[in-house]
Amino acid sequence: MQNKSQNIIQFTIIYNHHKEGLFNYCVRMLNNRSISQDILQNVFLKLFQHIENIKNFDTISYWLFKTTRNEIFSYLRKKKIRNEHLEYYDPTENENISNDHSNYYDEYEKKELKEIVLKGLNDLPSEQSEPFYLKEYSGLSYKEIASIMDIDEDLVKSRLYKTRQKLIKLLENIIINGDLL
Amino acid sequence: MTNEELEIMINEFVDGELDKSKEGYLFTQLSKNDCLREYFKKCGIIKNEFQKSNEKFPFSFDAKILNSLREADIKTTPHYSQNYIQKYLVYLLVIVMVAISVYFIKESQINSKQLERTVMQVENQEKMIKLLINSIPSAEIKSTREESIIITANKM
Repeated sequence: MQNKSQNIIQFTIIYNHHKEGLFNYCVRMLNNRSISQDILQNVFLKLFQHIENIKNFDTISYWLFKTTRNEIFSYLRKKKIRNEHLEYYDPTENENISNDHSNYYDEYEKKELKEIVLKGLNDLPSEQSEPFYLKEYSGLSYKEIASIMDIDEDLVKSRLYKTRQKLIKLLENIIINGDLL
Repeated sequence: MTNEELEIMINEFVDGELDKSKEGYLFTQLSKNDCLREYFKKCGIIKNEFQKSNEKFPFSFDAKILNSLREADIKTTPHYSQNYIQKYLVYLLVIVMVAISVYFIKESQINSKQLERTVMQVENQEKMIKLLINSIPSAEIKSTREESIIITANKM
């Protein structure tokens, strides 16, 4: 009985600490809140059922993000969606996305800078933006991200660098057009 | 170090992956190089703006998840009354098994006595048969030809 209450406390701590990061990661990967909710519900249910068997809580963040990623890709496979960037996103949300950077300045008048950063990330192929999402939402190391994505550590580093380079170019474009920074 | 290498170092710093020993060198370079400072500033802006874009976890979703966990817990943990019934079913089964085994032990005891009696009877009958055989008179067989063959019964 005491063991059970300890597990519930442990679960609550983990849940409260990671729920927002995992939710945002799912939403960015799928661009669909209701599916993200279903996926997260499964992830937390798995955590709750296996919490007694978890011995090392230091790696829980890694386990959660890896499980969430597996669930996302399993969902995408079931839906026969190939892992191509554009197919991750709701077509209605892609209508306004354009590769022409000059459009971002026009959009800025309506939207905040954060939305432009998000759109910039959405424009990138998923394999390039995913390490950025994982880094920002989980705070995992390059090594852990590499293990989650099953790629080389240097590749994670290089993808993060390239992602930031593209976002910086986007910002520079805004500076040239609107002198915002 | 080239500007690109220094930019990679800035990226590592922003990601919290830069070795502490290299931080001093990076900051020295930042103080000297305007372009690098600008890059550093932009990395910070991207990080901040991205963090601002974080969506809050919906409260309704909290309730949905926690309710689903409660349901899963009820399914996996047996209810008190279920436990109670299971316990008594096990007791009942044990009592039935003991009763059956006592019955079989008694039955086997009765059967073993009957077997003993039967064996005694068989032995007595065997003795009687031997006595009867011994009491039969000796037999004599005569041949019809000239050379006679006499067969006599063995005396016990």
